[in-house]
Amino acid sequence: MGERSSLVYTVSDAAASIRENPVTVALSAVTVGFSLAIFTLFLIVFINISGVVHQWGEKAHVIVYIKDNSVKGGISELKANLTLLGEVESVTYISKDDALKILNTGFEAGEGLLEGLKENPLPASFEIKLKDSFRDPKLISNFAEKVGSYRWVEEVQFGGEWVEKFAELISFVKLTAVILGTFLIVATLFIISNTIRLTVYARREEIEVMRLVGASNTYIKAPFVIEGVTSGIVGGLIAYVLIYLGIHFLGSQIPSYFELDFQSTLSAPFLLLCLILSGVLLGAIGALVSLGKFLKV
Amino acid sequence: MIQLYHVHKKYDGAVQALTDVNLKIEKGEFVFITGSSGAGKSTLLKIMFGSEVPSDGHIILDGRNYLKIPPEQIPLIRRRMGFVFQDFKLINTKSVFDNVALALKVMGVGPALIKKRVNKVLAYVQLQHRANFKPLTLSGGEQQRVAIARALVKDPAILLADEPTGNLDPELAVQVMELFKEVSLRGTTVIVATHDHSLIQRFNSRVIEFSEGKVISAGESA
Ligand SMILES: Nc1ncnc2c1ncn2[C@@H]1O[C@H](COP(=O)(O)OP(=O)(O)OP(=O)(O)O)[C@@H](O)[C@H]1O
Ligand SMILES: [Mg+2]
Repeated sequence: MGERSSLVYTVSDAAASIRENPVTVALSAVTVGFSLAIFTLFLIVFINISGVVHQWGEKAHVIVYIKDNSVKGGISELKANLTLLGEVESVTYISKDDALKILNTGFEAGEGLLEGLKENPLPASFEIKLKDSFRDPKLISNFAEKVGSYRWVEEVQFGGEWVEKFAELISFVKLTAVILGTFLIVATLFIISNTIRLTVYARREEIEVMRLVGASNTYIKAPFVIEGVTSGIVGGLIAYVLIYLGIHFLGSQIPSYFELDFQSTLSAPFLLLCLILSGVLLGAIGALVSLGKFLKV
Repeated sequence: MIQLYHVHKKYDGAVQALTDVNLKIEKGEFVFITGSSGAGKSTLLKIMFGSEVPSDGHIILDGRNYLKIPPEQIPLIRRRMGFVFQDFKLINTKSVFDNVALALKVMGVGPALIKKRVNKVLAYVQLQHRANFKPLTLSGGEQQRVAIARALVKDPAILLADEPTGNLDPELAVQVMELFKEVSLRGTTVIVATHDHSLIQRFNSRVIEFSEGKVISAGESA
């Protein structure tokens, strides 16, 4: 019975304290809300952009042009050899004639672009699709270099340097996310622990009396932790609203060729759960940090 | 039973508050601690309560060395003790009822029992009509009785009272002392610091006299 009553008292004490200092709780909640929202929006943008880059990487086949006259009948042998490479998923052979046909489909029927020429100048090629795990710009470029050194290869073309550049940008953004995240967490913890510290300071006499009548540390700390956690939950909800407003705004500002799809990045209930849990964590840690220094027996 | 062996207390400012105090107080005893202002009475009670630590010496509480008790168990010991502080130490933002109830709440006593016991003890000290008042709206004597009620409400094994009648008129002071006497007859060890000699004379109990931090008379157990 004793334990249950203590729990009830703890919760009702916390509720009373929140009713007495709604401003403190609101301040912490807004802080939590904004930092979670900023970080989450950043994360959503980041996830989308890397997704887009990944898609581009996927589209980027490696095309290997074959030197004219370097091979006579051994096409199928070369194709088999390429297929055996660890990186390769599939290989399609495009003969000189195929290449011409593909080129011509781009123009008005009958009005062949290379009509006048006696000989087809287009090279034959292999179009290589890489395995999933090798669709990274760096790895694609390594692969292209390797194949490019083969005797029968005229030239290798792949997704382009800019994919690589963009990937570099992404890893820079990743680093920024880590730094920004750390910064926001530290700043939020600092603000929460200081708002709670102010409450603790305002109630220091009450806390002293509680200790004198035999309150355990847990009994004394719990209302403050509950206060922090409440700020965290409210903060999570605030963040959720801010993120939706943010997505709405960003969604209308982004050029369509980016093919970003914010709505489906995170499912709403999952996002809400994550935000509230992060808020709870921030609130609880913030409270414990401020109490640790203050409450000594 | 409380035993003190060669207890010394020197405060930070190099004030020697207690010097070589040796005492033995039996369970259920009623003891007055007396001595002039600054003699060390409050210091002695605080050391017994564990809110001050002696600079030297030992305190044995029911056979346990007080100074070796881990900090997390101190609250448990305090729940068995009632302390009437010289400066009351009431929470000014809480009602009289809540101040008294706090002593039981921290022990996890259920609300129904708390209500019953708080009302009963407030009746003892004649403060039922002030239950919903905040301490600062009460007179000094009323505040003192709230502090007394809070110390008594938990039926403590040891009651430490620091000038509990300092703000009371003689008639009320006697009533409070009679209440304490009754409590001690039910097995509570009662230790009262006071320099009210008329009160001491009226109650035929053991008197421990202090002067400048030293015991000059340890008195006879009644
Ligand atoms: N927290 C403290 N820091 C430094 N010195 C203190 C402290 N508390 C008490 N003292 C000193 O210790 C001595 C004993 O004080 P104590 O409060 O025990 O006396 P007392 O007998 O209770 O006096 P009174 O009858 O006035 O209440 C005094 O000289 C006092 O100044
Ligand atoms: Mg004193």
